[in-house]
Amino acid sequence: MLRLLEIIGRTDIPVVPGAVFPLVRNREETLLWQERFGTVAFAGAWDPRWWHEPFVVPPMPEGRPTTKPSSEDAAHFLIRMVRKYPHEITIYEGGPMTDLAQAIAIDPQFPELAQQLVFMGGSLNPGATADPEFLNNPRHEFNFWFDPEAAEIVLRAKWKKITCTPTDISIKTLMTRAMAKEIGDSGTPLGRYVARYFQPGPGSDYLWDELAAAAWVDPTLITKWETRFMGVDLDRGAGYGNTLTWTEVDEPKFDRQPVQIQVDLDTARFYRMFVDLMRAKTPAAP
Amino acid sequence: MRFCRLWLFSALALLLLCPKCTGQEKRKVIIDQDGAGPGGTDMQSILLMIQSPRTNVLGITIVTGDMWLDEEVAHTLRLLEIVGRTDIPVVPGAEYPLVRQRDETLLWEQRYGQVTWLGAWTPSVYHAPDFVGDLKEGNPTTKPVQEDAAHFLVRMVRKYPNQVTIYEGGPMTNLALAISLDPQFPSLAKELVFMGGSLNPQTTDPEFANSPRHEFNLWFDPEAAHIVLHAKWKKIVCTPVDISVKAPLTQDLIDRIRKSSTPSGRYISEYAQVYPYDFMWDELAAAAWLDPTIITKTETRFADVDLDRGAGYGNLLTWTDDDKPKIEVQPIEIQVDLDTTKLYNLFVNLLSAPTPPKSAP
Repeated sequence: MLRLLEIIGRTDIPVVPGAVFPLVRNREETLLWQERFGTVAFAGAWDPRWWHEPFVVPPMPEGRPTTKPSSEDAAHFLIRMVRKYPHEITIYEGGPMTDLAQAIAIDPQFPELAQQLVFMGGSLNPGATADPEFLNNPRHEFNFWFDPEAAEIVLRAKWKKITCTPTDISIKTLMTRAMAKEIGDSGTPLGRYVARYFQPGPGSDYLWDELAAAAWVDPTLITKWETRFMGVDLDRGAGYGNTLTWTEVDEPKFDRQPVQIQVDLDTARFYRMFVDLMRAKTPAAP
Repeated sequence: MRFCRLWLFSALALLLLCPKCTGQEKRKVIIDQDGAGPGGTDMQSILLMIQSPRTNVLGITIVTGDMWLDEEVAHTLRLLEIVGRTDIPVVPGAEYPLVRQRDETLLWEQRYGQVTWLGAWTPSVYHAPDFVGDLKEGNPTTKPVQEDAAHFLVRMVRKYPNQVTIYEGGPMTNLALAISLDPQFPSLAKELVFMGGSLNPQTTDPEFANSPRHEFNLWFDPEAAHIVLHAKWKKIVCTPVDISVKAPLTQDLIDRIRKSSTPSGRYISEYAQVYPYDFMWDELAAAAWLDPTIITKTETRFADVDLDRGAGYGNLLTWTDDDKPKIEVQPIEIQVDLDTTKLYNLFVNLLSAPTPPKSAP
């Protein structure tokens, strides 16, 4: 993250380190769980294909950063910012929700002081896909699964508005070599970075977090929405980390915020916006 | 000759009263407590540690448990005012357990049976989290610090690496948050001592008679307890219900303390009460830390907390070396039996004494 900001000339943006580990889940337990319940297709930092110790930083093809992260921790930063700018800040979540859960536990007013939460995460019923990650596990999605307790803590908190980009819509997007080339041809630092490090392949060319970001910038990209109540299965067996959803009709007896779930999008407009933004000159610091 | 002896005696007495002279540094401790009050096990255990001239209480971090956070902070501040130790910071922590919620718990009880003690969520006393009301012992005028408990805990162990005992008398939410913020927190502390967990207590107390593995502190925030018990502390000491039920609080003890007119003595006199099944839960954990010879028998077990959401949710799980699971679990020194006379004498003596002033830095 630091290196990306150096490359595009925006080192004014603080990079704030948060949680090294999920709240409860640990790797050892998870390896045993997989022996009993089956291997997950993608295990993030714990994936055996590239596993290394937590505090090791492997070689970086884009070069090592010279700038430093903030000395403040993420939870503290999150709380401090929403109190500094009450009701103005969108919290965008693109990964497991550990930092947000910490912030909520330390300051229960954190969610209502934010403007809204938008996140990529969860999976309902991704439909026709040969992607092994979802073929047998339609309710499994990595961000929720990696820290199920954090996701449950966040989903039931009193945000003013929650917007979800689930796997179901993510797999309707695709980044192509043509798009990467068009972006690279811009010649800008960001354009060259995106083109250079684009890796097509199973799972890695859906525009997961990018769609969540783009739809926040321009909600009209989304052509179909659904409202559901969402939770996460915290039982430690086969379903641990799975997405749970309900409509008003079958909602359990708890007080939970409705989630606006993105169902379908205008892919042509999304790809155009994506390419144009990636090609553009990076705006200077405000 | 007599003069000589007197001089020697005085010199010896002075030497014993001077910790630095004998090389005995004060023991640093942070008390994490669900500070219900006035009187009672939470306040009495805090008082025991403050009253000891050999401790340096760096701070009292507060967590919702027996009562809600806000009222516990108030009771703790007021206790410190009464004994003249407002130099000790009171640090507010988690208002809610990490995952467990009240509405979920009420539904769980419908399916799995009523829990005897629900702390702040006990129906007969239930009120909104931020309601404090007027305190029996007088409303505090001092204030808690602005810093939150998790950050305070992390900051203190980094300021005094390997020196700080973490004393836990309530649900472990604050400790779990500290571990999540800073994975090195447990190894930088000196040790963890806690009151919590239950293996197989021999008691008719309905709280445990049908649920021997249930104990409130762990049960109220099972995820936090799981996180804390898995962490790599240098040493973990546990005061479980099994030993608590061997240490009843008796009227006789309160009457003995009544003879004292010190601020601590008067506080106990006024606010300590004996209830049915009233055991010295947190006081024993504190006393055993102050004087480990109070404990006459210990056992090593490996422990975890059941996080399945069914009947066993929040129960203690234990193993010995022979049958422990394949995943890494930490050895815990479990206190099994005690010398009650020693405990009671320490309790009476310390709580009757004048309150020691703030330590030299």
